[in-house]
Amino acid sequence: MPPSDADDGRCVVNDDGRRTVADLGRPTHPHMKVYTTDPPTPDRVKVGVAEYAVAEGESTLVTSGLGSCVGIALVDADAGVAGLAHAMLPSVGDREPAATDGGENRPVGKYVDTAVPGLLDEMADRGAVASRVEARLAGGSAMFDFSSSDSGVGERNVAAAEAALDDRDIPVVATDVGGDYGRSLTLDATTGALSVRRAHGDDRTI
Amino acid sequence: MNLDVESLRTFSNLAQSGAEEAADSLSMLTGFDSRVAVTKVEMSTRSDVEQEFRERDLVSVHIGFSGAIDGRTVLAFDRDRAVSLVDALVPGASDDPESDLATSGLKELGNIMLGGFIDGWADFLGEAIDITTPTYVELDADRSLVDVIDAGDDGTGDAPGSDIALGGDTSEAESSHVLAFQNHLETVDEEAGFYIYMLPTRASVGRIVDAAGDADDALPVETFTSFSQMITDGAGQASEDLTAMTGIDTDVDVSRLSFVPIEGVPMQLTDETRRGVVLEFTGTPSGYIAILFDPDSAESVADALMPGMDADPAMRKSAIQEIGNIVTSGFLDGWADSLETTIDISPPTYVDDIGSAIVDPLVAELAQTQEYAFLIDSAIATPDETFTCDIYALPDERELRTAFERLAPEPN
Repeated sequence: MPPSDADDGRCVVNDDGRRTVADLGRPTHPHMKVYTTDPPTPDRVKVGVAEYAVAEGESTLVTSGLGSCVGIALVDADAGVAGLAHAMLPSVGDREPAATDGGENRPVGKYVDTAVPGLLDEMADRGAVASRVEARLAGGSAMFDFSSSDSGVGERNVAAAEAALDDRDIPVVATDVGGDYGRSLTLDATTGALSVRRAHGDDRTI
Repeated sequence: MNLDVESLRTFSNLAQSGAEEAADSLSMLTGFDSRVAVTKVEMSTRSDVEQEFRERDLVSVHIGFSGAIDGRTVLAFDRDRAVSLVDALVPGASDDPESDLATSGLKELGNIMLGGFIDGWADFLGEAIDITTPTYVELDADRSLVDVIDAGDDGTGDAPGSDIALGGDTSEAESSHVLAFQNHLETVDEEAGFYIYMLPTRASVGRIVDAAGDADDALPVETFTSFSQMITDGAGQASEDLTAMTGIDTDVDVSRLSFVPIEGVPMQLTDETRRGVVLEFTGTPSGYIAILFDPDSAESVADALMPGMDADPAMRKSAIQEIGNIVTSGFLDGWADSLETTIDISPPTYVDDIGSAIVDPLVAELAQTQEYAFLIDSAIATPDETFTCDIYALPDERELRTAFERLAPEPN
């Protein structure tokens, strides 16, 4: 069974700014009306940890608190479609398979190697063309040096993102990665400009 | 009653699907897209749940449920923000946010969202669950959650508050343990947020454990409550040590054990700056601990440690590190005693960064071997609000299970 929208960790805003859901079939309030006109498209869409989201037009996608996680920002400026992922680990393959690991319910946005194709598919559904997509990467820092860990998760996340994008011939036009500090991101869906905020120091736009 | 990690995963999935149903209902009926930000299974005391309501100054809509499982469910929210969403349900309601019409819209919102939430559970159990009519409640400082739950009772005469308890044997309602399911939903523009709490009866928890659990892995539920008590004791010791060191009275505000999908952990913090220390502990269990202060609290703590001194930033940093050491020792030493083991603590790494980003690398390390985390979070505060110290501990899940086994009473 393929993962459904409800459980794969995605948060996607449709053309009309809301999700399509089945009729609840529940009695409603006598004064209640079901929304029939298009509500305003949210101009600020939050992307949680291990999630990705796609937006178009005059919107921004935001994600906060990237430490070793990597933020993958993709944009097709011609189509005005952008996507942002907040991935935690390089690959599903890093996990030993286990009956209790969530199986197909594992969030697609959690791993770089599933988030990149997932994000691209979602953008293509909204009119983006892969050959026009440009990528920006931010995050993947090394804030701590843990004795129990032999690996820089942050560095591996960035390398995995570069590899996944390279496989699909998507150019990485700018990066703000590494270091020993956290980052929060704001992606302008129209221009693809990625603004990187730190706790201390000036914001940087790449 | 026994409880096992597989059951906790099931509970977490159920609460997540229920919350997604609720978010979909909200989106469809109001036109505002919403998302589930956090899903937690809390093994907390009733007073901790109440504390959360008060901290956030929330009002709530309550609905009882019965059938396949029994209990109470609560939609808690900031009234001013939520009322802007109900125009779609009750046109004109937000023109007068304090009106009865607005309250009626909020009750309807609760009905729809909690109805969706319960539907998710009924689907899993394959049995019908009936819900009562919603009750709107403002939780003021003088009311306990029990009062609120009783106020939300539909008058059938049963007393749902009395058996919604994990440690059902304790007569102290304030300290009795609740298995509570907490979801945080927010509109994607973050303008409005909702908390869904579900408090099933002890028998209902048992029913789901029987349906989903792994008997070989099950531990008596008292094991979890003993561990929870150990955390509370650790926070108490840390509070005493902090008071001894700073000369300022402190209390344990919150002390909670919860079970969460691991990616949900960083979302317990915001992107506001936090200062403090991160340490690694090794033993049974191993894990990570972060002792964090907001910037004002960090300044107050450093001042308290170096009264009257014109301390430079390096001295302040070292004062915070020292505080971190003391709090960590206080917090963890009791664990080692209770678990009859040794827990080694690494030197502290000083942090001054975006709050959620500080926790993110700890979570990423653990996420390589586990999908869910036992999150321990405590807050120590001074009554006069001079400072608050937040403690987050993330033990390795498998090692914590081994530790649980040591805490478990001998089988009969």
